[in-house]
Amino acid sequence: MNYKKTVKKFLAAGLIMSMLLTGCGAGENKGASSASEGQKTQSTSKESTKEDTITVLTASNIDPEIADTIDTSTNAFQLYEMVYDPLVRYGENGEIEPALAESYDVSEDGKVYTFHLRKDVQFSDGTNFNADSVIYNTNRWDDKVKGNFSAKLEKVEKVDDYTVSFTFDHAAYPIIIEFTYPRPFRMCAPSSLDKDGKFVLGVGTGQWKIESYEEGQEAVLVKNEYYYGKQPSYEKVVLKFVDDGQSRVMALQSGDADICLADVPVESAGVLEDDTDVSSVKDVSTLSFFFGLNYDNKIFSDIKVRQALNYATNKKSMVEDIMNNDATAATGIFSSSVPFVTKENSKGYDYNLEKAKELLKEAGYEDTNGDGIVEKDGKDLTLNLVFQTEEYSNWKTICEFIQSEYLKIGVNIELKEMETAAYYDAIWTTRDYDIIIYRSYEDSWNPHGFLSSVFYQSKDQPSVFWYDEKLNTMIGDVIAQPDITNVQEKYDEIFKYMDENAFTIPLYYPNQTYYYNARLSGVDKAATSYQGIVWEDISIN
Amino acid sequence: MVKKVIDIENVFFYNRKSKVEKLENKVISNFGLKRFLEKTSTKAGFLIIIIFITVALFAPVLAPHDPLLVDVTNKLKNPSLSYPFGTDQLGRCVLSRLIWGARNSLLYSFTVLFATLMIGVPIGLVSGYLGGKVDSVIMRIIDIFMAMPSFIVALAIAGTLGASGKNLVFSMSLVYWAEYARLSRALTMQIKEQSYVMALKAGGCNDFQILFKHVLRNIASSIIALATMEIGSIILSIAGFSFIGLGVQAPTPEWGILLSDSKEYIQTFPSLMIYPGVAIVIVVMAFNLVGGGIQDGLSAKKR
Repeated sequence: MNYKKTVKKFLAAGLIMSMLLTGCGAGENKGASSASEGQKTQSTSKESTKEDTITVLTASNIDPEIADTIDTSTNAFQLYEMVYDPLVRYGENGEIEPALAESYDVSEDGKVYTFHLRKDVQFSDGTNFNADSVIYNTNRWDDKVKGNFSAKLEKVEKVDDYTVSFTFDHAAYPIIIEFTYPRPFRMCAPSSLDKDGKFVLGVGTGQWKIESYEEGQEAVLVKNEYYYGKQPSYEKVVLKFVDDGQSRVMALQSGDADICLADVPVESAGVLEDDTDVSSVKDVSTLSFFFGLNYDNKIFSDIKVRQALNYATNKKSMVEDIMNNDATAATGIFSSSVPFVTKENSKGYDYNLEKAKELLKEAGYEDTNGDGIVEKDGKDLTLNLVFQTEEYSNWKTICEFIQSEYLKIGVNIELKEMETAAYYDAIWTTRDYDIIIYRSYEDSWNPHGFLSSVFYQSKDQPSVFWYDEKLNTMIGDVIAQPDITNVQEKYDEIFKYMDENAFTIPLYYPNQTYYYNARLSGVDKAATSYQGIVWEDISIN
Repeated sequence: MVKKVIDIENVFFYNRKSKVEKLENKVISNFGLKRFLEKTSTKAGFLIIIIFITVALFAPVLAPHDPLLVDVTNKLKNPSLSYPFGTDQLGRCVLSRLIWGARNSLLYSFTVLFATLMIGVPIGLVSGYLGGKVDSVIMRIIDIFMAMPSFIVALAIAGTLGASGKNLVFSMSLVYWAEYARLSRALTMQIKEQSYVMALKAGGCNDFQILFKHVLRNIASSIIALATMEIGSIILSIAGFSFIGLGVQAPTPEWGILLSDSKEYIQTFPSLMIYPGVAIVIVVMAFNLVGGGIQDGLSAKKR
């Protein structure tokens, strides 16, 4: 009987362990319970088969219900790219390519942009797209939306049925790039809104239309039969939201997912490379990871402290030992794949512990009580470091590594993991951090969009990561440049100034790799990471 | 003597009332250490606990390396002489982290247990001894706490206060005290009817002396029985909270943290996950064996 009991106990203990693990799995699928009640099906779908459906993994919450063209709170860029079209598109190397507009003219003074629209475009609900549709959309843009332009949008006029002109208060070189953003300047059909003007579900001119979705889980997109461009050879794309890196890897391996557009843990990359059922396509990324410093914290107002932390950051070891060389050590806030970034204007800081210690000492921080932590006025130099792991699974390892590195110069780092929503709140509203790991924007936002978004203080919006009067003036100046002639020079100044003053701690530039199931062929990266993949060229074997 | 030592329900949403009720009518002054150690399984459990506590106490001596020492050039190494269990993703010694993990996990668990006892038992004693209105009010409060699923409430509190080991201990203690209060109240009510309490009163002892010197001593064994049964689930809960990031924070070596850190390496380096998992299973099992033994001892004596 004793034996029987012991076996029972073992079984029970095993079960508990598995519960512990799966219990946490459920925790990661936050909102799973609310999803079932929020489940809505737009139309009755044809039975989908594996042969005509591609399942794609993302790490940003796919929520078509709020994915309004003018909404700026969601990060579901892939969905925007697939459903809505811009007037012009951001192509390879920043070329401006035609999209809904066949061509565009800019007036002599650079204030008036005239777009000549394609005449063969229909929304996915079958209605025609023309100048009135553009006016319909621009009428929805309030001042906050218009604020995404570098100049003030004064008026939008219909010239004829297929010609629209936008008039700005002054010329600015980034305006045409801003028309390419995944949001908020894309075009949706009036049927996206209900009769009270409330957004219901996105209807656009894009290659795909939303068929059904489960809130917080997935969106099923079918090809838009009215699409003017090349049609894909398969029927459906399922965008699946998976917020755990290891789960994404396993979904790829098991064949549950075909393409992963999100980051995978660095150690698992090797597993996927070895898997004959999984192929990959590599992309030069314009992404960079860095530490943002809270300028409200008095400790950071001393430039020596900021420089010391930069000197104490062992980027080489981070890239070689942690990232297995699947990244590049950062020198400046942007990688060299971003326009206007050069070796000369982003020199960065070498790894130099002696120099870091010296700078801290000059700033008044010394270890007087022998506990290994430097202090000033009897207070230990302790800083918290906020991170999340859902979008970038390697951040935790990076932060733990930095914690041990900074301890070498006597800086005590307390790690604080936040779930994604709380993390973004910390960045944008609560500012509840000393140091926070963050990423740059990508493609068309870089560099001007990112700089003006997080280092620029406007009348009603405080700066997000750092405020410096001179930097503010310089950024304001560069985005107001009427044309490209002096822009390089201005960016040189900005990047140098940011570098010298160590407003941030650049970490590394990750490589972008999209893994996909080998049953697909013709998978190729698109010009921007928001598009990710060129959908129409894929075929299912 | 067939009883559930641990069942799944008991881990997170266990029916705490039933467990307490089982012990409520067992006022036994001395359950006899000898009697409960007779069983091999209990002996084994006891031995395992002693081993783990020793390891926890002497962690600084026993651990071959500093559990926080990062050496990324030496990451994810297989077991070797200097690193008997290999190294983790940051090149830290896994064995050292396990040993320090035992220290932290057990320390947090015992702290929670101690705190719940310190809150629960005095409240139960006073409530049971005084009776009347005081008792009714306290009992209603206890009922409220018992009615709520403890894990969820602790989760909510820890989530609101922010994630840290301190907050976790606080929130768990705040939720788990009720059953001890209920148990000690029930036992006190039985004891206070007994003639020796009357005798003490007649002899001029004050209420405080009676309660904490005499009554407490007589109900201690039942409370210890409940506590031993509970410690296993406390260990599991703490590891669970840490795993989901609401408990102890990285890089503190704690078994739940070790588990959650290693989930990224489940394919490439599964041993990282197995070690802390096995450690948790063994310790929880050992505590449950001993708890079961004590309860057996109690019921045997009662008969």
